[in-house]
Amino acid sequence: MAAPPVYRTLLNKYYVDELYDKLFTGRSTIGGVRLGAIGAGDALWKFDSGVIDGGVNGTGWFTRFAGFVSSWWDKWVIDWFCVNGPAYVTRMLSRPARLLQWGLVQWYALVMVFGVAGLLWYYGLR
Amino acid sequence: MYNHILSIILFTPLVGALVLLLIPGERKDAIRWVANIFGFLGFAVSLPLIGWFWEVKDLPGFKFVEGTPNAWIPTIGAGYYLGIDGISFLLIMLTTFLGAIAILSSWTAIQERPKEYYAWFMVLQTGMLGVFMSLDFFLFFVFWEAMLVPMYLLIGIWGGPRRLYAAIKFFLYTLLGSVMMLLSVLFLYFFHHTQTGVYTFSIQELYHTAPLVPHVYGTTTAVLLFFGFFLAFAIKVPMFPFHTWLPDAHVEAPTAGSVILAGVLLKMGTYGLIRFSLPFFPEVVHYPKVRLTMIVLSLIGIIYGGLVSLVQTDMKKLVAYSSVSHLGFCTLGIFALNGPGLSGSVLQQINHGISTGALFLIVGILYERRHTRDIAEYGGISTIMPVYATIALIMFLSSMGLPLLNGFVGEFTILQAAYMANWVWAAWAVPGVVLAAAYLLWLYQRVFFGKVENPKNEKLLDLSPRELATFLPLVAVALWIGLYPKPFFQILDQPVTALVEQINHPQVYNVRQLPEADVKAQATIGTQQTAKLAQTAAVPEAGR
Repeated sequence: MAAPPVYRTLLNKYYVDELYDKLFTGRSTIGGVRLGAIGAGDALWKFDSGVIDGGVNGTGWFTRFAGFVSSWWDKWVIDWFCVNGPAYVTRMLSRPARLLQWGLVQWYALVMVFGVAGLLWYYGLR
Repeated sequence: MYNHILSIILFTPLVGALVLLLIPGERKDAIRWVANIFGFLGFAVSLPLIGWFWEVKDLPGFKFVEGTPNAWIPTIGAGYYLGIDGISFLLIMLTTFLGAIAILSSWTAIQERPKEYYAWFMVLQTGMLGVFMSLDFFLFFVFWEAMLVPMYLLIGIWGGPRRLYAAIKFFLYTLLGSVMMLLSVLFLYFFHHTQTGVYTFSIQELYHTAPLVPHVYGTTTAVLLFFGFFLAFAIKVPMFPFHTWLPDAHVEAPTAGSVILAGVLLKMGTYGLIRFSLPFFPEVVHYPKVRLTMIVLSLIGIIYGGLVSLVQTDMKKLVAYSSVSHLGFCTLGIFALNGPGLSGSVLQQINHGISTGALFLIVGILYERRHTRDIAEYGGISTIMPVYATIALIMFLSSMGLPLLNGFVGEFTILQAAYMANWVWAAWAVPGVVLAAAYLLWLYQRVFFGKVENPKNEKLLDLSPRELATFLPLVAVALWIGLYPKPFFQILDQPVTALVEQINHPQVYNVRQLPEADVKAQATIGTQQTAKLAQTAAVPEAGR
């Protein structure tokens, strides 16, 4: 009589079907993950769409982000600080200077009176 | 006509595009008829080339040369310079052949704006033909870039749900590679000037000086230049890991767009490797690290593409990834750097064009009827559409490399070449054949065999005469190459032998004195031009 292991192997046709299920057909799973060549395919597919394609899409995201940074820099640093800033400063500095020319003759007469009084006071008291 | 056959073939589609522009957009049937007439005309004008080329196939150099090297834009040295050898001849025939079939296949598929669709398709045809015919790098680059815009529009306007993402991904990704190639070629252009005093983009001229780069600038520079070119071609082929644009572009493109994309555009990458990378950098390609990188990427492409195809649920994505796997074989053949490798690779490119073109048409037939590509939606189609199932089986078997059909001839030659180079490489490539059989037969079983589970499939119509007409030529050529590939190998004999010779013994201009150690790198001195140049003014030192 053949020993039980040999008998079982022959009875189960050398376990070829089970082996194929584990290695190739993807019918055997460990916790939902398919085994064998199909499992490798699943893993590589995840790798392809996640990592490699993720890298490609990541490059796209980074390019758009770089565009966003560039437009922020352009709007706030270049345009606001370097262009509008000096214009603002110039406007502020011109405030006192504007007082000299209102077009109001009475104001000019007043300034002239103050000027003459100042000159008299300065040279008179010397 | 004999003297200008290449220009005629090149511009017939463009003339077709211009004629189409004259037809009002509402006359859709008129547009379709005119487009198809020009499609067939494009193929018809390339037919005489077969007979004429066969007579001259063994002559050295390029045949049917047209134009002059530096005459188009003399200030930069660009010329309208066309010519073909056996390799480009086969690819040109594939382009005109598939172009006619693809145009015929879009009759019912394209309902919106057919005029623009066919016009852009024609422009794409011209671009592809120009790439294969150019003997001037500037012209080559113009046509190479000119292919991108029509393809972008074809995918982006007439494509599937994610067409905009796929189109822009394809365009920018390919463009990135192209500009790297441009950078490298500018280096070679200026280097050629330092060696010969001449500014030219003529490819044959650049062949004579580019191999000197490692000697003048060192190996690092040469390797970087090689990778500039390689990036452009690896993205186009596509090689792992630059392949991810392919599934999106193929799946979202309209059927005819996918046929042309897979059938011809991918071959431009391998053509570029053969026409440029190998002859420009014969030494770099022999460096063990570089060559091994190329081989490993090819092998990864074969196995990886096969395994990922196995788990796809979308038919078109499955075929797309199978393209990655099949072209892995082609690049493996190229970097085997021997006669069978190169001729097997070119033949396999043609075979892939035929079989994968047919595969996309097959998927397109079902998609047009059911508007779904999900494998689970189908089953038992062979009982409903028997003629279609038969043709599909023939082309599936062709794609997986069954003997008697075309795929086997190419694959076997490549495996033989890989074995000649290193048996380990061949050993790793063989599972790719098994995987191809696995995913294709499993797809066929799930879609065509078994019971008709889905009631929506019960009333599907079999192939119409027009659809049959798109398939029969492909089946015929597949059987022809499978049963009698000898003429193809005879056509490839001269260019492949010359190329292998060029890689192993590059003919460079000996204008400058090279150190003793480098003299052995060059076997022959160039032409009379070299002697003249050597006698004239001193060539400036290029920095040693």
